[in-house]
Amino acid sequence: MFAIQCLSLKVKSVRNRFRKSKKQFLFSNFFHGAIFLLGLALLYFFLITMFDFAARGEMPAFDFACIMLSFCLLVFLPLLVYSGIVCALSVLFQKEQIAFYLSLPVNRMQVFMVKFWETFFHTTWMAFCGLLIFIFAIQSYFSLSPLIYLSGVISGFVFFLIPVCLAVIVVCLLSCFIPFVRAKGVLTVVGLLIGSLILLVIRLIRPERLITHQGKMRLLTFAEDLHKPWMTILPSEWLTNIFAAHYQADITGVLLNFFILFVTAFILLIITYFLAKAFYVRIWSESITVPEAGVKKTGWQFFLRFFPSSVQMLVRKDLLSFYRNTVERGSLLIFIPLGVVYFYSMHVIDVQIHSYPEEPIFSFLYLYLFNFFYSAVVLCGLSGRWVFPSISAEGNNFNLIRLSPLPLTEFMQEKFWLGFLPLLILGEILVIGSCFILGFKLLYIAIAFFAMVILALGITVIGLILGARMADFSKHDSLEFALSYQGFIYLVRVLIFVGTIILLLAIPLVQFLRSGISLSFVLLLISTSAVIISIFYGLYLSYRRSIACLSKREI
Amino acid sequence: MIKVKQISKRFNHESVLEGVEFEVNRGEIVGLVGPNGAGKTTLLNIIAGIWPASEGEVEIDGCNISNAESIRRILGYIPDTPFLYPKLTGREFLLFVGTLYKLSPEDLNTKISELGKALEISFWLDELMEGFPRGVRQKMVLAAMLLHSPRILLLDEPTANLDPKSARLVKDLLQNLARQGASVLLSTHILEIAERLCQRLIILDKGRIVAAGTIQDLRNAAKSPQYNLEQVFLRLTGGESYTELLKYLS
Repeated sequence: MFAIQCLSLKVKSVRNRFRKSKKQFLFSNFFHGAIFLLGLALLYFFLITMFDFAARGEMPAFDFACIMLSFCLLVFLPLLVYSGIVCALSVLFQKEQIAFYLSLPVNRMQVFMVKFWETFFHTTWMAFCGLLIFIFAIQSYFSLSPLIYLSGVISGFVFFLIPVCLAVIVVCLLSCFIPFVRAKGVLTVVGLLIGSLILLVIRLIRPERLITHQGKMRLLTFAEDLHKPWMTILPSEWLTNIFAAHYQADITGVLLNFFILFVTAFILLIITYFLAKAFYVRIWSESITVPEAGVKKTGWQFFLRFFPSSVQMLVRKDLLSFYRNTVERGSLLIFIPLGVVYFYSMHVIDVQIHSYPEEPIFSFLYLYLFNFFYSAVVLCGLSGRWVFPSISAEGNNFNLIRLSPLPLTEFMQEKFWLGFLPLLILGEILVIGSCFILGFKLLYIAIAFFAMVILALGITVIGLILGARMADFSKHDSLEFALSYQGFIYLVRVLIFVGTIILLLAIPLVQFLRSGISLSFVLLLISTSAVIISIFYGLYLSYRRSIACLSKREI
Repeated sequence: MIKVKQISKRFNHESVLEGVEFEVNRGEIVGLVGPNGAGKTTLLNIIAGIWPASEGEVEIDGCNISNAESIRRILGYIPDTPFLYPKLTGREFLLFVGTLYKLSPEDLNTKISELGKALEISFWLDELMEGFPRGVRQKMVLAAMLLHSPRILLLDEPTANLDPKSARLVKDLLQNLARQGASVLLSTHILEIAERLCQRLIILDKGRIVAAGTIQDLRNAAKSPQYNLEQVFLRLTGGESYTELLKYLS
């Protein structure tokens, strides 16, 4: 009963959000939903293609499907445990809600169970959709009985209970030793780092090679070799065995594997229940009182010298807030693997482009402009994460700035410098570094340098203009704002800007590569420069208007 | 001196304030009282220049609030939700606010230690603000407001979350500032504070001023010379039915 009441509260809150802003709600959900369905459709076609490919090779298609499923589940198991830990730390300890629930005349374990199922849903729904697509693919490809949906869904549900129970057990035990507020920050950073390293490893094994026939054959051999005898003790193998037994119409096999899966999940559920009974309320109450880590001495003041004196105090405030936020600061670690991925990709492109006998001018142009585009896209992503939400991140405190004699132009200037300088430095490192890797001449490196100044300037200014116009001071988490409907609008606009600038740069460049310095090149250069200047003048006017718009905002 | 002239405010065609007009003289403490949703916070936000009024204007020392940046140098505002940066220490926050008002570092350091002692927050100055209890947050905002010695003070529930001793401290502080010539406009739900601290009271209900003046003026307006402030307030804001409710509940 209590769970149903909690669920109805959730439904009502979604309904209220819909009523508040129908247009945004529909757009954002339609957009996300369409992308998600597209992803599922792609997964389905990928599976069918791979089954086809295996069937044409030496391996039975169903064996290949089982090996693939077992491998995917094996990879997903630790990922789901990790995701469950991060999710449990948020969901199980949401202060206001838990305080309210615990004040109600309901059993405390009922509160825990409601939060446990919420964690289960948040952690596993996406993986569950993936599993459903797999079942759909094998059922349609191998013409299996529709009963496989029933057994697949039930066994999948039991299987997903295992990582979530493990996650909650880890959280309960971990929070006994580390205050959960700190544990959350540390785990988020560790997760981001591991994610980046996985990305790095995937990039270094060059997945583009799998597109070729030889690549696919290697994948099959790899998948065949993957299955090891010790894997039979893993839940991923039990779930796979259920599907295999279903295919062979072996009811005993289905029941036996389901039984093992069920008993494991049940034991873990019991352990979770008793651990929660012992620790849950205690951990929750400690989470309210335990303060954050103390203030540390830092040497970051050095960076203040790079900023105009009038905005230094604002920069100081923003840098301190950034430095002391474990998640924000930890996000910087991601730059290392991302940088490696970037330069490695450039190296791979260089190798590939030289292996195709094409017209040298276009091969050069493709590389040169792609280099701009690639680095600009990286900058857009970073700007969308940090520059665009920087005004909204002020929250209610924006009124403190507005009440002070400090003009809003100076406030915006600070946001500009704090966004522009890091983006410019990073952009220059990326573009000049890759120019060296690709072996461009000094003249082209100099052009790339100036082009990156233009791109970084535009990306920052658009971030600030839209950040000011669409500012949402109620969103305290900048990531939340960056991932919202507004963030999507920003990304679309800034990518249009990047595309336009790169096209404008390409026009005189093509002329120069064809005929050197000629009259037509000079005319093209002047006209494209005039267009770029007028674009920036338009941005400047828009920037001024956004300051006026910001000063009238009612927070 | 604060002059509020025929202020009206509408949100999505819904009127929140309607023709509000009053003055706060130099050295005077005026209290703004009214039931929840009466428009007190909206009015203070408009006077502080955070929100524009739909109609009417606000003058501070003869200058219109909407076009005078110099007014901000003499204005101090405590909102209902304190402005705080959780990842800064108390001292860093006060230094930041002081620099916004272009105070010299020497003055600022002296003022911070003085205010720290006066408001009994010295212990918290080097701690991160995210761990502050609510009362300390309120005192920290008060200290931030007093850094630049404002002559116009706007306070939204200044004694909220404060213990009796700290509340008393704030009351004494405000009276001192008023004696030195500051104009103080504060909103409060605590009628005892309004009665003791304010020379004049403005009762706001549903966006309109229902009565204004000294307590005797309010009694006269309520046509109940023997009533205390609470009874006057309930009569003027249509809250007498609450007494019936209380009787029923007891």
